[in-house]
Amino acid sequence: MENKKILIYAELKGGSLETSAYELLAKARTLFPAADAAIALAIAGCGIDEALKEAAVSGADLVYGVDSPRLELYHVDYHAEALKKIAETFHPDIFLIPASCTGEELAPTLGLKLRTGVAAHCVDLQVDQNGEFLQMVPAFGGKVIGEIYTPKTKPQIASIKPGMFSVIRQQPRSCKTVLLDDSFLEELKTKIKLRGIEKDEPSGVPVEQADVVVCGGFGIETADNWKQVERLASLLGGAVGSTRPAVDQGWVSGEQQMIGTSGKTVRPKVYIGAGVSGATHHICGMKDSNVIISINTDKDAEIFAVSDYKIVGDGAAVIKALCELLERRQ
Amino acid sequence: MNIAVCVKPVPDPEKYNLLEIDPKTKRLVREGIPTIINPADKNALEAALRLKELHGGRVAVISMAPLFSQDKIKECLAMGADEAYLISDRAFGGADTFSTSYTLAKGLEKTGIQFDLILAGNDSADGATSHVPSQLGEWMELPHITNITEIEIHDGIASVKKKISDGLIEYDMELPAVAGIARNSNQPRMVSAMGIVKAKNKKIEVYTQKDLDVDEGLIGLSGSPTQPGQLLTPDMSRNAKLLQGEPAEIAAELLAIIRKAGIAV
Ligand SMILES: Cc1cc2nc3c(=O)[nH]c(=O)nc-3n(C[C@H](O)[C@H](O)[C@H](O)COP(=O)(O)OP(=O)(O)OC[C@H]3O[C@@H](n4cnc5c(N)ncnc54)[C@H](O)[C@@H]3O)c2cc1C
Ligand SMILES: Nc1ncnc2c1ncn2[C@@H]1O[C@H](COP(=O)(O)O)[C@@H](O)[C@H]1O
Repeated sequence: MENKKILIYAELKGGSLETSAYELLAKARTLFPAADAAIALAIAGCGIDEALKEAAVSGADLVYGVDSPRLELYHVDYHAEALKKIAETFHPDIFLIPASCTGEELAPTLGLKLRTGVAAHCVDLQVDQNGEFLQMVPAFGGKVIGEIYTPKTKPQIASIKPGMFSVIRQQPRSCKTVLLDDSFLEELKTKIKLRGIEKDEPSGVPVEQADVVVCGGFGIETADNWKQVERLASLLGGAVGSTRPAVDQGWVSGEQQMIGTSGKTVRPKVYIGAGVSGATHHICGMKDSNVIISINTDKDAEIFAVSDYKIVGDGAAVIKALCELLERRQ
Repeated sequence: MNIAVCVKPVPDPEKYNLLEIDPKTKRLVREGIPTIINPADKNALEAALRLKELHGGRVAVISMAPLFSQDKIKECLAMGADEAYLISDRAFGGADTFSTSYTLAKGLEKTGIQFDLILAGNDSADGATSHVPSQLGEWMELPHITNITEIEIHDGIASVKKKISDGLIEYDMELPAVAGIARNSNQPRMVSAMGIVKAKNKKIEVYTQKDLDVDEGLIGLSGSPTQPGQLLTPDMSRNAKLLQGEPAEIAAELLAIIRKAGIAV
């Protein structure tokens, strides 16, 4: 049997590789332990010299780059075409794409352009006893996990939520870098014109990178109480997390801190949830936290079933007491 | 302006905690969980109705679903859609997003209407792949963008704002185009009594396989490049230890737990 070829879309952030590239690389290395898989990173951007260098020592076997002004900001047609070109050059068996806001759109688009199947938002990737690549996808908000095979077509495309796998730094390998001629992008006709970008104000520690997440739900009840959630997160050197209703109430601005199927996936050392009911959609995004502490007035709240410690009581009051204790100690 | 809205009946997402897998048959037990129109699709329909109010024209809804979903499709007509198309045939069952989007594209073609804009919800609550809008655009060879929070139409162009991780990106798409509308991006209107009365006279046209010019190799489970294996319910349960006492006592216990978990405070 020939060794498998795995292509990973390495997204960029400010000229360097996004963490998701390292997460997927670490996972890809574990898939075929017996036969050494050839793993390539695909980079599509503008001014990617530094990123190519970084990728060359990431532990990948190959790096493909397309460098074009057309790829400076995200554009579905140009990015999909660049990745298609790389896939057609490398001929991967498996193509892993981060299910970020942009990867989430590129994966299905490439699925059709390459006439193959795409498994969405995988929570795990495995190889079964017959050596077949197996993708585990969440359904019904994560209540159910379904196995997905792509038996007939190549590449088997999978999108994976950032944060799903841990980063395990790899030893650099002897790595070849291939920069593709970008003239095909100049010729590409598109009916989509990029107009501009509006960036949100960054709001403290990103929730997916914090060691402690203090997550408030609808049971925090008031904007005033919400300040206690922020105070505790800051005293613990962590980040504020939220559920959907907390966003809808306007207690947090935007969805950057929202945890769950349609938000972030977090696995902090400590997750503290206050006034969170434990809907499947939310649990899906926090269940892998090391220690889960929940505070809810309802003794039968669903969140308690996935918690290590439970407190039946008022969320804001318990959080406030902990803040006071921490402040007294300082 | 002719606008098509893709709608999918799904089990009510607020009730997913109740879902079980039958240990014998390994099938999903959905009993007691009502079917609703996918929440994001209502946002798409609302966006379509507002565009119609501004620019005139008509709004058609299209769905690939079992026949019993007609009730749910009626709800879309009562909200204000002008007509509906229901693609329904055993042959389409088990389709993944590749073959669902293919079949929807064929259904849209069959209507004979020149659509200027095709809206879909950004993601369905059950499968939540968020694939169908992009893939529909690819099959129809039309520009497509997903995760849209705002859409305006002027001079044959759709100006849209797309949500990305750290903000919004703005694009202009030439019409006709396909757009995936983000959940919660607007407040879908309620169904009025007048709407229900009017819906009685609106048509729901049903298409079966023989009505559509489809390639058999691209429909249903057998035409799908992805194939399902087993269903599993992950066991996420933990032994919740109850902490009791006054808030101050609980706080002291929590601090010890947090430190033990490796947080230096
Ligand atoms: C397709 C889809 C995707 C979704 N994606 C997400 C997602 O990514 N993330 C997400 O969070 N949600 C998501 N949701 C929404 C999700 O289904 C739930 O509605 C949501 O998670 C509930 O948030 P909550 O626990 O804050 O609010 P509620 O469910 O209203 O719960 C509030 C809880 O607070 C408790 N409470 C009340 N007062 C107090 C008090 N004083 N002190 C302590 N506890 C109190 C109550 O007992 C209750 O358990 C999604 C929904 C859909 C349909
Ligand atoms: N069977 C279907 N019939 C009509 N529209 C659908 C169907 N499946 C998906 N869609 C549309 O595509 C959107 C995204 O669905 P999904 O790709 O399944 O997350 C939905 O919100 C619907 O608008």
